[in-house]
Amino acid sequence: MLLFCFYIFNREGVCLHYHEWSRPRAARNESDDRKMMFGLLFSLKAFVSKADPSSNGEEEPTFVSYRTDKYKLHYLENPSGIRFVLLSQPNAGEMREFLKHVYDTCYVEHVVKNPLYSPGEPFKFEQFTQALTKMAKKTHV
Amino acid sequence: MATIFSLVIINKSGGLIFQKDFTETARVDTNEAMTQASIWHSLHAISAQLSPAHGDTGIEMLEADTFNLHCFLAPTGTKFVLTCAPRTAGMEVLLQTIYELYSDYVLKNPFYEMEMPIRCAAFDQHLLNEIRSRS
Repeated sequence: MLLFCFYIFNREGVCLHYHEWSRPRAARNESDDRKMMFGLLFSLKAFVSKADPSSNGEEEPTFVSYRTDKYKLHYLENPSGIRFVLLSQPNAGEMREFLKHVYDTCYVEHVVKNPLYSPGEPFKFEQFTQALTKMAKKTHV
Repeated sequence: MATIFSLVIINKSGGLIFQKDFTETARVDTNEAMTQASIWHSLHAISAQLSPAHGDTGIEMLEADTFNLHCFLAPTGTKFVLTCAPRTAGMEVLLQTIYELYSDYVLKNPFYEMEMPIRCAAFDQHLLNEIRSRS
């Protein structure tokens, strides 16, 4: 199962991290791509909460993933506002556990606990990338 | 048991031309539905632009905690959007059937104007029958 790329956004829309495994069609402009991705997710979240047909108003429905002809996008948002976005092949299964795992073992361990990291800034840490690629290799054969 | 919540048909400019709710809880008012349809139209287009691979046509299926949304894009640009309960099978086939009903009872109706709201009793009837037979 092929992974295309991975984004981390914070609550303000800043792209904290971007990792690419393979991307046959490169984005025309990198910063536009990030902004468009954040905008799309923001609007999708609002759309899903409006479109939800269930009548219970207490639980806010969260969107989990979407699939197009050529890719599948998986989404995980933390209560802190940190959003993890993973683009994979369309035949991928549930990647929510994988994203939760990435949060626990890669992000919290190597980014949050890094004393030199100031929250809200884009980062590029060797240890984080290594842990991420190792976990990706373990998950998809 | 499949639970189908609603069907929405969007014309190629993003305007709502048909809306039908099949359960009580899914009811939304028309203005709200028109806004949602336009929003979906734009999100669908953006998702194709963000694709990491070539030749992407847009979102086909969206999963949320409480519902799934299936979207069928006809070659003419008309979108058929179906919301259903999570893990409901056979929605793609149902969308194909609805597309056939659309071409039979809407497009072949000599009084129907393209891109206008659909008001064809035959389409409504056959659609209801089809949904009832699935759920």
